[in-house]
Amino acid sequence: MSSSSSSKMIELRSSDGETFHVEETVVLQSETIKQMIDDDCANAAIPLPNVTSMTLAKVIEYIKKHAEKPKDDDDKKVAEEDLKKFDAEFVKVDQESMLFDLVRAANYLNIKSLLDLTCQAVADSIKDLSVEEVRKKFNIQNDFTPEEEAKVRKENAWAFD
Amino acid sequence: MSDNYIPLDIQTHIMKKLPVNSLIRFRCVSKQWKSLIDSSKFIKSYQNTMNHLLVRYSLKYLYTTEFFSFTDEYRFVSIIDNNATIPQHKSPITVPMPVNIRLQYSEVLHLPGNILGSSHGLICFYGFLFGNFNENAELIVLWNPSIRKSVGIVIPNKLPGLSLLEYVSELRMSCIGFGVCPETNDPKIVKINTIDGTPYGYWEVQVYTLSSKVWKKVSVKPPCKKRDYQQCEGVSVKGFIYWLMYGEIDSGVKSNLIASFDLTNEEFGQVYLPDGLLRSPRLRLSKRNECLTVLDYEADNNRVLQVCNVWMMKDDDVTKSFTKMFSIKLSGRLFKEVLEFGKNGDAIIETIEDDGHSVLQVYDPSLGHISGDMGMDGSYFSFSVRSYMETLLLLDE
Repeated sequence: MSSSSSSKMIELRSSDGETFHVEETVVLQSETIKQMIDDDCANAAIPLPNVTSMTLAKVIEYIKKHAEKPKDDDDKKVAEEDLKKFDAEFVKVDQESMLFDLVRAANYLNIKSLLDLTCQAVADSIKDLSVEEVRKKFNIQNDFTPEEEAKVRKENAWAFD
Repeated sequence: MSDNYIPLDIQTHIMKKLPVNSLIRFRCVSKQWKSLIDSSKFIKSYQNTMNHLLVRYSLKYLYTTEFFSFTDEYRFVSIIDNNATIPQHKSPITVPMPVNIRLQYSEVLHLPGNILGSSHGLICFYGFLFGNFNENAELIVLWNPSIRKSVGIVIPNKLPGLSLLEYVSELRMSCIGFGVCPETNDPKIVKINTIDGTPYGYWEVQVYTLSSKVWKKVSVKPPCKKRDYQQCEGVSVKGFIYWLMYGEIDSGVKSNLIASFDLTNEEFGQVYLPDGLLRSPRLRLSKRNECLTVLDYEADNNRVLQVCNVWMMKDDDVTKSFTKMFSIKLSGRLFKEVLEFGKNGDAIIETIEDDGHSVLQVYDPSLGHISGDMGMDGSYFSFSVRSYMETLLLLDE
């Protein structure tokens, strides 16, 4: 098959064994996969042991949308608005664990725009939380003694009002 | 691996997208979070898109207060300025202690500019303290309103023993500027003095860098000098401080021009104004959307301001050229001045009401008229407005 590279399909395999076929031009948004293709490791299905099929399906939905090319300048403006709307809807996931899965997948696959988008969504969801809630959310052990913590709080008491 | 396990490097990425007040609170999540947020690397790389306006005003007429009084007359509010219409949310804000006292002095003494400037989230206050004859001093307060932290800096007294009036006339000939170096994120202050107080006098340039905490004399000199009435405070834009000056371009003819100071390599340069501004008697420097902006005021025969022409500098690293963007013309209102520009490019202007007090208005250049009232009034001359962004600078001071 000697057709143009735009139609070349890449096979991805999720951690739970499901395979996905994605155009090479679309999948190149992932720096990690791009590196594998460049290194000629993409002749068979690319295994992605850190990404579940549910998460991978979402990621593919995202990179497909972001690979669409506007036809002309007028179209470009419409497309930009459309993409903004898509992004805003994309991070409205029912389960928070899904958002965290997407963050990890974006990081593993090295898709910068998706990492920025999902990290911003996490930041927006935690910005008004209390310190205790943040620890719980990220599974962080409080390693301050009560005296130490009180001291840090006192340094900027205004931020806790 | 638990569902909510997020490695530290991704946690850092998320933290960079939080507003400043959340980060300050989350310093006590864990020792790791605290040391991360406090690290100079994080402080330097952190920047968010939130913008605010700091408004200073007074309800009392300052010129009727007792000379050298220590009364606290100024009020400060911070207004969220996020592209949409201004104003959104106003909240009173407390300035660092020494500022109010120094501001009183400098206002009474008619020194130009109390809020010297704003750069990379820092507001720079500049004032003058006149104690006994050999204790007069100029004082700088750098303040990050987002983290409510400030640093005081005393400008070394170059000529002790001057009388008050002598000192003030010295200060009127000097220039001062503040800006954060974009390479190092180090705040710098540049003071240009003329030693004998005349435009022909001997020049001395001193640069203060916050990281070193010392003033150093530098050998470079600005290409020209300022006129007595010209704005003494520089405007900092994209790694340069600019001052309005007056000098010879060629063939012995003097005209307005702009001196620049590169905050990275500490060298002076000059920027030529377009022909239409070379002789304008009422120029001010400002900034709009992080571009150097020249405000050219036109007055009628009674010296009442009628029009403000807004020119912006295009800077493509090779040439710096000015383009006239729009003119502000008010109908049926007395125009005091353009104080600042909002994030969306709207001008924030002060107008004078019939009873003599001032109000803040928003002027939309695309509509060509006033689009909103900021809902703030105060006494004539008391308003000052500065745009600032949220950063963590000074957190490690």
